[in-house]
Amino acid sequence: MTESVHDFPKEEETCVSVSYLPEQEEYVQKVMLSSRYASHPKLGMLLRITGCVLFLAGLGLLLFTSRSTSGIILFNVMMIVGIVCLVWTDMIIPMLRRNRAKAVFEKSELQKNSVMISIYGNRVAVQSDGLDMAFPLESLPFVLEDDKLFLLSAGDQYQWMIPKRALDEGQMEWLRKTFTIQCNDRYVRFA
Amino acid sequence: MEPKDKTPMEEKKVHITQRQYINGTLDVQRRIGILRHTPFVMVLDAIVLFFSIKWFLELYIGIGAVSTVDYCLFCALVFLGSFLVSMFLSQLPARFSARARQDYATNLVIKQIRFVHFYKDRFELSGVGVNITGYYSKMIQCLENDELFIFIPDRSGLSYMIPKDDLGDFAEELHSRMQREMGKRYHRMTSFPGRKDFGRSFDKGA
Repeated sequence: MTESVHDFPKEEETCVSVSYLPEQEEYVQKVMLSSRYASHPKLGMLLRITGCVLFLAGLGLLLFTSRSTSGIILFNVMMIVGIVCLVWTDMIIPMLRRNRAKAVFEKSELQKNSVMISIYGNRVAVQSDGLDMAFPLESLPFVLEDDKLFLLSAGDQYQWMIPKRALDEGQMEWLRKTFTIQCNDRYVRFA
Repeated sequence: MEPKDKTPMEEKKVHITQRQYINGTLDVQRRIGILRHTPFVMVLDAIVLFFSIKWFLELYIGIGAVSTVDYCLFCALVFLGSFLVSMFLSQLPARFSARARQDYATNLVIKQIRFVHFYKDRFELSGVGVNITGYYSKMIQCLENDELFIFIPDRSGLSYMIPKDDLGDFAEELHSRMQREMGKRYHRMTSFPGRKDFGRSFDKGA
């Protein structure tokens, strides 16, 4: 009834095989990188503009109109909402995500397990405690890279990182070339 | 560690539909994600709205003429309250549903899973290119809704969904087994009349 996990042609050799123990900071970096890819820049800009307008309007009205109790409360509410909108995308959301990721890593046994990832010319194989998967590289939804890691996604729930500390320059170059060929525009490098 | 039990108690073929995946994702959010704060937000909102309306009515009845600023403050408070309610009851679930639908379309794992094997201490999900083992003792939650059993290993958003329809009669046995095995970690997700079925609104017969 069960089928073989590694049901791919095996004529080529493993080109990059990495085994590592994830660290908390790397896990946080992985979460931040993934959410950066999924973020909506236009929505963020709209929020910043709304926040700026609300804050300035609240401040202006507070300074230049009559100071009844209701007025002071209203204009302060406008300024507070404005500040929250202004820093929502750049400060509040990243801070919440970072803290949540740290807490998740601390409490999760699964995320602390050692991972072995092997990248072949056309496929990737992942092995960890209770997990054994292999996919063609060309069907991965996206592959990301930043200054600390490569991130391979097989869906929102299944994402694996390859920390650059576990790779040498030659391996990194080979991975970049392979991802560019296999994933095209789904391979994104962040500065 | 004890040697693994090799003989499964039950083997079933499974397929998760888009609707089940969306509703399952929402239930995970309602249990361990941001949507678990919904009751708290509702209570907070009710308090703010109650005192806003009380203040405005007292002002209106007491003085008779209410200034423009008072009207604006009242409208702002009602708007903020209503916005929060709509955020938690409609906008966030809709956004999670849209994201889950998109994920279902591109997810390599969900659609590859073909079989589930149940053992005394664990379950195994398998298919082409996929083999996942989940020990009941390592799950932080087991949720059950009308369509799925959902096993949650941590708070990262990862969950293993098993459709009840595919389990047939074994669903009942699994229900009582999980209740017994998981104790407080087992939770039956209640649905109430009027709750929007986000999975159905996106379902295109997947």
